Amino acid sequence: MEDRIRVLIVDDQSMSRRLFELYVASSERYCLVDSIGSAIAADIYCRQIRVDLVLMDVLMAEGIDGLEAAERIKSVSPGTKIIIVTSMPEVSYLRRAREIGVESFWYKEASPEPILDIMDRTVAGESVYPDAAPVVMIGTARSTDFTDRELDILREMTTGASNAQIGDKLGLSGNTVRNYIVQLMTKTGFTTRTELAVKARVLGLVISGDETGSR
Amino acid sequence: MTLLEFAATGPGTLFVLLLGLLVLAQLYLVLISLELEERRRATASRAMLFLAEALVFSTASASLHRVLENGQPPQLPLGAALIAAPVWAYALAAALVLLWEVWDVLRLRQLRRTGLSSLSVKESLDLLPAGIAFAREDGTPMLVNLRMEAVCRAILGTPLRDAEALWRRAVMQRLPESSEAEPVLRYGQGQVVAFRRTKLAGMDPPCVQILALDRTEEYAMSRELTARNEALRALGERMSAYGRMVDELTREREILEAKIAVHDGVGQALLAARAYINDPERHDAETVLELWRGVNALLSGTAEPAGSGEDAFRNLTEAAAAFGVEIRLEGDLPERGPGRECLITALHECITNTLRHAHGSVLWVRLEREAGETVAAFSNNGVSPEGPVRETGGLALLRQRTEAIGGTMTVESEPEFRLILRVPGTAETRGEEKDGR
Repeated sequence: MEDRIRVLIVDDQSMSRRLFELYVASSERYCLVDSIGSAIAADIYCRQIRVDLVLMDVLMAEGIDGLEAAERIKSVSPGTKIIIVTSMPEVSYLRRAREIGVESFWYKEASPEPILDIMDRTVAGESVYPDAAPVVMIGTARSTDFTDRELDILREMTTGASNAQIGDKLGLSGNTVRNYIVQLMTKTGFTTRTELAVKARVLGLVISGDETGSR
Repeated sequence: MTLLEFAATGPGTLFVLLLGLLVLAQLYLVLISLELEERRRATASRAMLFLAEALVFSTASASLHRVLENGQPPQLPLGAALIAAPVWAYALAAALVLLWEVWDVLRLRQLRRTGLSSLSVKESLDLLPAGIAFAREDGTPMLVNLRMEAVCRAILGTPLRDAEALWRRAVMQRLPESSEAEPVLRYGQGQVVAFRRTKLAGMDPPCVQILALDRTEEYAMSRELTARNEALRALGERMSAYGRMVDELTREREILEAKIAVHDGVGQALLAARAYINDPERHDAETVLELWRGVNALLSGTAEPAGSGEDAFRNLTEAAAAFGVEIRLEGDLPERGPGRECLITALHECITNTLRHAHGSVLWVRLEREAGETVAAFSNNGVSPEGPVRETGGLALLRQRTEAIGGTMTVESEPEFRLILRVPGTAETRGEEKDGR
C-alpha cells in the first residue's frame, strides 16, 4: 500500500464521495487515505500524514470552500497534488485555481476525460485544465458574452447587495454599477435585476465567495 | 464792517440765524456719528467742532443781544472781540463749515449704506433661515434672532430667557437616533430641528453660540430612505436564502445523477447476470460478481443519511480524533451565522496548535451564552507555551475575522494556552432566524 498513491477525497456530498471512492478502489495505483465531507479539515490530514493527491469539490455546505482549502494545503504540504472537481460553470473558479497553484481541474459533468485519466496525468506531473468553463445560456446571452467586470457585478448581485454595496466592494461608483447592470440586462433580455440574479445563480454561472460558510 | 454793525441791519439778523443753523447741523452730524458707531476719534472731532461753533455762536449772539437790545457793553472780553470781528471773516468761516458739513453728510450716508452696526448685525441675523443665539455661559442671552425666538417659543412656550435651559431641553427630548452633541428635536406640527452648541474662543466674558437648524425635510427624506433600505435588505436576505436553496437543489441534482449511474450499473449487472445464467460457459463469473459488487457499493453509499458530511464541526472533530486528539465540547454552538463560522475557524486553529505545538490529546471547548453572544474558551492538556504566544498566521487571521463580525478574541499564554472568543449569536437564535426567513 505504501507504494501506491495516497488519495484524500473532499466532497460534502456523500454520493459524490462514494463515486470517487469507487474510482480510487478500482485502480491498483491508488489507495484511499480518507474521504471527508468538509474542506475545513483537509489541511489537517495533509499536515499530519502523507497525502499525494486530493480530489477537492469547491462548493461546500459549511466551513471554507474547496479553493480556500486548496490554498491552505499548498501552504502546509506543497508536494500534495490537487484536482478541483466541480459541477459549477463559475469562471472565476478556473482563474482562482490557477492562481493558487492547483495542478488540475475537472468538471464533473462537462469534462470529456474520465477522472481516473486526469488523476494519472496529474500524478505524472501534468497540469490538466479545461480550455474554458462550460458555456451556459442565460436569457439570450452565452456565458462567454460577458466581460470579467460584468461577471464581477453579476456575482455580487446574486448576494442581494445594493448598487452602493457592490460599488464599495469593487471600487466603483453606484452609477457605474447601475450602467453595468443595464448592460447585463440588455445582453440577457431580462427585465428585472432579480430575475437576472436568480437565473445566474441557478446556473452556477457566478457564485459569491460569501456564500460558502455563511450557512 | 463788523459783525455788530451788520447785525443791526435786516440781512444781518438773517445771517446770524444762518450761523445758528450751521451749529444745529453740526449737532445733527454728531448724533448720526454716534448712531452709526463711527470711530471714536471721528465722532470726537465732530463733537469738538460742534462745541467750538456753539461757544462762538452763543457768546457772539449773547453779546449782540446785550449791545443791541439792552444798550450795555458785552459781559466778556471774548464777546467784545467776536462782535468786533469783520463780517467777511464770519462769512468765510460759515462757508468753510458749510462745505465741511455737506462733505461729512455725504460720507456718513455712505457709511450708513456699507458699514456695520450692532443693529445691522441683528437685522441680518433675523434674515437667516436658521435660529441663532449668543449667550453667556450661564445662559443669559446676548443676541437672539427671530427664528430662534420662534423655535424657543414653540419648544419652551416662552421667549428665550435662558439659552442653557433650551439646550438642556433639546438634549433631554431629542430623537433617539440623534446624539447628545447634536440633539435633533421634533416639535409643533412635525417640524424637526437640529441644535448645535459651540463655545466661542477668546471671548470675554466666555460665550456660547447655539444654532437651531431646520431639518424637517431631511428628516422626512431619511425616514423614507430607511424604509426603502429596509425593503432592500429584506430583498437581499431573500436573495441570499435563495442562493442557499439553489445549492441544496444542485446537490440534489448531483444525487439524482448518481442514482441514474446506480440504475445504469444495476441494468448492466442484470444483463451480465442473465447472459451468464443463459450461457455460463461463455461468460466469466468474476466479471458479473465485480459488477454486482460495484452496484452494492454504490447502493450502500446512497443509504448514508442525507446531508452527512456537511457539518464542519463534526468533520473537524473526526479529523482531530483520527490523529489522537479528543474534542470535549461543553455547551452548544450557534447553529448558523458568522459567529458559528468564527468558532469553527477557531477550532481548526486550536486542533492544529494542539497537534503541532502542544502535542496534547484532549482539546476542551467550553461554550457559554451571554446576552445574545457565545463565549467560547479553548484549552488543551498538552505542553504550555514557553513564552507569550505570538499572533501570526492562523491566529492573526482568526482575530481579523472575529473582530470583523463585532466579536473579541483573547489569547492567554499562562499558566496554559487558552483562547477565548466572544462572538455574536447563540444556539437559541436558530429558531428565531428560521422563523424570520
